[in-house]
Amino acid sequence: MTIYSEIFKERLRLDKRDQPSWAGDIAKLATWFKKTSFRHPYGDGPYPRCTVQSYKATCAGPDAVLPSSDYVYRLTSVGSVIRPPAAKRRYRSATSSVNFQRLLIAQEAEKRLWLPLSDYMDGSISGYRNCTWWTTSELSWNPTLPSAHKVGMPNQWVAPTAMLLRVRRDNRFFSFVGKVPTPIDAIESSVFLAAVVPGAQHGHAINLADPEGLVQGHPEVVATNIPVDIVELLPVAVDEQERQKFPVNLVPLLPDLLAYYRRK
Amino acid sequence: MKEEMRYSTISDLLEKARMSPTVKVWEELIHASVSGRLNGLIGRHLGNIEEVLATAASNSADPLAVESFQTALENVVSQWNPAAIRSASSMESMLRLIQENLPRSGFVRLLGYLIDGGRFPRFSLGTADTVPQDLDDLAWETLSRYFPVAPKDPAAFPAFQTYSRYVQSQLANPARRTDACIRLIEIGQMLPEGVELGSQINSHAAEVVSGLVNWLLAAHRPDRNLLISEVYLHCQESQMARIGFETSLEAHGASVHHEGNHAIIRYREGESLAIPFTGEGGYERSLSHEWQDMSELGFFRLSEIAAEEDE
Repeated sequence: MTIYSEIFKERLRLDKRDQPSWAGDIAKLATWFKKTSFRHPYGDGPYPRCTVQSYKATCAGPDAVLPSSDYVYRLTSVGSVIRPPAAKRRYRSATSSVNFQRLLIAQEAEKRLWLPLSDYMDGSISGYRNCTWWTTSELSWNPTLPSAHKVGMPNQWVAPTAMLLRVRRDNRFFSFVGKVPTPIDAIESSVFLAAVVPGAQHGHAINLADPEGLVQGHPEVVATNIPVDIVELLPVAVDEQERQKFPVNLVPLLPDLLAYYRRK
Repeated sequence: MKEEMRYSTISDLLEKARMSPTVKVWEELIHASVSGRLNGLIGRHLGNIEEVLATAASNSADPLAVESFQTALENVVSQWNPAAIRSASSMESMLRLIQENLPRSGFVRLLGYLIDGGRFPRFSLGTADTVPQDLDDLAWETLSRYFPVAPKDPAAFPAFQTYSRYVQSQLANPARRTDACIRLIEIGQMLPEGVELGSQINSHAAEVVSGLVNWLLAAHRPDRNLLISEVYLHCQESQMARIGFETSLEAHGASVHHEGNHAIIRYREGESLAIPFTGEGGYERSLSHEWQDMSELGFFRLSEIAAEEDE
């Protein structure tokens, strides 16, 4: 059994215990993964042939009650957001680093740090499997990786062409409603600890870089279909020097993650 | 067991690229990426193939990681034959890697293919979440990255001359006409004040004007004011072009109106540009001397014009 399969086994135990209302769906998904060649969900994806209906049931947790904050934030990459088909034509066929440079030029020309996302794309942000992850904690961007680690992202998941998004919560046109993340939302992520539902007001990421080891990280919620008109973006470069200074990489971390899940 | 190994291998490969990024490891990773085996990472955490590979190179502690990656990509692209497209998504991946890293052989492979009449599928299945991508646009943008501007001595660059001729030929292609105008301006092969641009604007106003204005307002070029003034003056030669110009400006939160003997363009960010004209209901390009003299002074602001008029 590989370490991924071991992690999957532990995660199933915790997910069923902490969010029992999803136990039946998780069991079906586990059976599907075990019957197919995948064995665990952390290797590839998306899984368009997955016949388990709940695989598509993302952002279906209870409404979150968020700690007070002016904004919610999300760390992502230029290529994850400004891409076809929603990207405006000028940005659709350019690679991430080209678009990243364009964002820096726009920052300089417009003399502002945060840029309106609607300048670069239309519609709304839905994310992978119609699910995006947000936190109420302000994410620092100089450096960026310590923030990434506090929302459960190892260096492999942070592009050199990274980007912060933020949404003002009291926006007069849109009320941001986050959901408590469910094991279904996180089925493909090896880094996730389900909040105890009922009871939890929101989720918590796993902080990957605390001196004490793996501990609870920033508050987190999931959301979908956020209109681009209310989202602002900030391009942040994450270079080699920063990566060497804050070296948190996924594969070396897996044994610690397994031990963490087993302790829970 | 075999399948289990397969999925371990991808994670292992990324880790291997981090720890020991040899040309061979990168070649393996590039082939794996192009064949779609890294799609799990794409979408879930990163946006596309170039971000996955740039992240892998950036994570490596080896200072030669980027160099060995470039060598590996050059090796893979030099063997690549666009005519033997296996799948649209692998074509998309290869185009993205070429555009991002500009291997020498990528230009030759791509331009050669297009000049020989090769075409790309209109849409691929995309790299994740069934995102469609217009591969023809992707190829166009990829080629343009090789020559963002003209080389200092164009005659010394046969590759540039071939490329320039190819772009010129696209003026006859309705789907590519606006892009060709923009590219020719960027590489100094079409003068903004020249009759060729005027002819394209007025013969094909519906398709060309909005594209040009979108480009000028989004690109933040240092010569934006000069270019937009020239496009504005060209647009005065036909009603359709004039309306197209005004509508396109409005779509960007900008506007144009007349004040005294100037046309005033107000940009969304609050700055304004004044373009002198003759009055009598007409704009005369003979006034371009006056414009050029004034343009040397730099950017016009409404307050400066108002001050001039007060005087």
